[in-house]
Amino acid sequence: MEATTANGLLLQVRGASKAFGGVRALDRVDFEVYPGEVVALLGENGAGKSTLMKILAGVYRPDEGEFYLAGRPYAPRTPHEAQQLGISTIYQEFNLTPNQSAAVNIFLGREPHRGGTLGRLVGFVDRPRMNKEAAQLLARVGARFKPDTLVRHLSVAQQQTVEIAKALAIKAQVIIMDEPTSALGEEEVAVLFDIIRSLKAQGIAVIFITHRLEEVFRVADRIIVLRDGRRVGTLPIAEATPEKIIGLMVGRVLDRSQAHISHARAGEPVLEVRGLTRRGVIHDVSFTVHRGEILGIAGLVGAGRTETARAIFGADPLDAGEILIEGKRVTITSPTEAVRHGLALVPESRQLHGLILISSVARNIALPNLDRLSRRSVVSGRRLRTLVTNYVTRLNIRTPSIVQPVNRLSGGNQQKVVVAKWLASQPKVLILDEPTRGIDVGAKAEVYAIMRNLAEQGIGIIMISSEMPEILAMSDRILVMHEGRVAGILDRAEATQELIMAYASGTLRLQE
Amino acid sequence: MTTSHPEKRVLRLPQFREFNVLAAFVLLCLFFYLQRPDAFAKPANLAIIMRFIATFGMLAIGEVLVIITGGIDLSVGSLIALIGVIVATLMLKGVGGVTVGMVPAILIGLVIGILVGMWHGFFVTRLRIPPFIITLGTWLIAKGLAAFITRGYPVVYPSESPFLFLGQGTIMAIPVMFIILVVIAAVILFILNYTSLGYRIYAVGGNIEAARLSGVNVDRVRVFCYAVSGFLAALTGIMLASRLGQGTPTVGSAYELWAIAGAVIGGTSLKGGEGTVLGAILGAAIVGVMQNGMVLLNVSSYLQDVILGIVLVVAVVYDTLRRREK
Repeated sequence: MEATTANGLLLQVRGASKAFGGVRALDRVDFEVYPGEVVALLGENGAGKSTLMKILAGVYRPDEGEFYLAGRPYAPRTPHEAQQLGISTIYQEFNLTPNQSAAVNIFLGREPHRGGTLGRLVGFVDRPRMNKEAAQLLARVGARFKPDTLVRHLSVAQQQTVEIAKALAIKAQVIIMDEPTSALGEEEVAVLFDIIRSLKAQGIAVIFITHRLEEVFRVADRIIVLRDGRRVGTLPIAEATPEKIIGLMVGRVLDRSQAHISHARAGEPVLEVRGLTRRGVIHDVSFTVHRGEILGIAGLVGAGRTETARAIFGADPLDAGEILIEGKRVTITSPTEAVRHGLALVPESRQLHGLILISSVARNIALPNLDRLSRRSVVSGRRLRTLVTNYVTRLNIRTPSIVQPVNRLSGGNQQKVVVAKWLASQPKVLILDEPTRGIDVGAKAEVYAIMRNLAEQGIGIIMISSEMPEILAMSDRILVMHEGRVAGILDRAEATQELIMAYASGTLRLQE
Repeated sequence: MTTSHPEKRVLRLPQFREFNVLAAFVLLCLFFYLQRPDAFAKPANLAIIMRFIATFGMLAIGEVLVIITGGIDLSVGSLIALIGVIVATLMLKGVGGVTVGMVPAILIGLVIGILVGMWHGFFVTRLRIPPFIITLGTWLIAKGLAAFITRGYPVVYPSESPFLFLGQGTIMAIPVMFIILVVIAAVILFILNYTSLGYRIYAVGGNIEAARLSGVNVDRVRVFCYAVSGFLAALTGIMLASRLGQGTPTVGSAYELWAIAGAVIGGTSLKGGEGTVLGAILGAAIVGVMQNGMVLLNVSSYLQDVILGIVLVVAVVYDTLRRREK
């Protein structure tokens, strides 16, 4: 059944490139998979894993590159076509309809019909046959629930098996799994790996994306590492070690030119967090931020960094833990209270969480500061204009006027508007979540300069970032998170990319 | 990414946003005046139009507030009937043989309106019930209660009751109802444009999560808007009871839909975040003038609805396209 090329490859990619608005997400990447092989695709955040995966899944079209599947050119125009051609992708967010049965989901869009031509015409679904075939497929992936169970009654792990059965139903030759273990418990992971091994035995290849290095050694045959959109190495599992892999993942020359000059941690603690816990999300997170300090928070996607910030800010409820501001215990159950206590949060997604896009620069900057700008709740237009103009000038926000809707500004200027609105609130602690994501180099440098300036004024800064150079250049101390816990806290002097990566991937743990 | 198109800007009409609605209103008035110069501009007819605008403008202002925050209030039509009936019953029949004076009765009616609005706000914010559902529930409850209280019959005011001044009286030829609308509109306009609450209302509608993360108490803002909508529905109910000289359970049917239509014609976005008091009143005025004008032109009453429906669709399509062009 499985045809391969002369060289025995099932999937072959040569020189795949893809750019997004001038940024090269993927740069002439080669990639190959043998039949029945499990390939682990590794790399830091932004290394190009998702881009490559989405090209194979038919979501993106490559700018260039040759693609062959089973010896035939492979150029899917849609995800549907990719599936038809033999590559199925299982995303972290499943594509299942919760109120329908597992069988219906497995055969969605390809239901068997009964009643001859007329039956096919009116779409009369052959339910008994569908359930029977679904049962066979589910048995192949070791599932023990009935095919007519509603998806919403299934556990996450069981839903995953439905996705895999669906891929089998379409006769997938390659199954891509994007962080398939991230939502699973230890036992479920073991079950999933058994399934992957049985897929292997059936000649199906699996491309496996994960952030957990230890899993790679349990299931993969071969490791391919991407960095900055390029393929930087391949290791057969027998030759791989965690150190080698991390070395490949981070081996970038660090640009220390923009380094933030550490001003000896003179300030007293301004924010202390103790035992912060949100069940299933973050566990026992404790740290301290001092006045005038930049605390970098590093970690892989899903490590709980954003969740920690949101929990401190009162955006999500806490199950346990205490927060001290300037040594005093405070209770923060809503962002309103957080603002009152002098906290500010520049969120990860400025468009979704940071800005009122249809609203003006002035109104956006005014929003957290309305109480200060008004007397008996009547907003003083004069004070508002003064404040806004002041921050527009200070942060060099390029806008034709302060009444310009922010959705007409560039990404960098939008980000500066978010920073401006929080600076205007004169916070004691400023939390920045991925402050330079999606903005150009010039705007980045400006944001760094603003951060340094604020730190010098004695504000405590928390910077969450997925960019290693940024973390290393800007932070006085670096907190590394792994799976919702503090994996390690490093001083600037001892921090290296390798060390951070080792903590972030769970190979190193904080010794208590 | 968001480059502006100077060439398109040339075609854009003057800056203030209700300009198009105002222009449409003026053109409509002109059209009906030219068709029936004898009838349209008569003081009596103008008073009819003004009372109409007062009724629907008031409700549309309430809807605008709620719709800006991303909600909807379907209860107002029935609330009109319920409050009209309650006030009339309190004043004329009394509870347990004790009647209530005019002013306390009106105040009680208004407070009930506010409480019903806060009730909606509670369901929407705390229990996360879709506003469509909870206000639809009230719509049915209020309708039923109004009929239950009066056993289906109107409660008629004696013709000398001072209460009738509200809906039937005029001051310098201007209906009292219309003056009340102007006062209310001025207050709400001030709140929306010049107070921190107003800034927050637009912020909640523009992006509720961003507003919350900016420290805005988004629940309080939304409860306020529903409360105002309930208050204005109660006020309208009182004015209409006065206008008709009776509290009747059948008044106000489908008025919520006219109010929403007025708000939408006036440029309110059902997606939230956009809408103005002036737009709402102008939208209601367009509906009012069209209904009045079509009566003057002897358009079949069935056809009137057809035409108004078409106007609504055209207005919304135009507005949607205009937005997309931005």
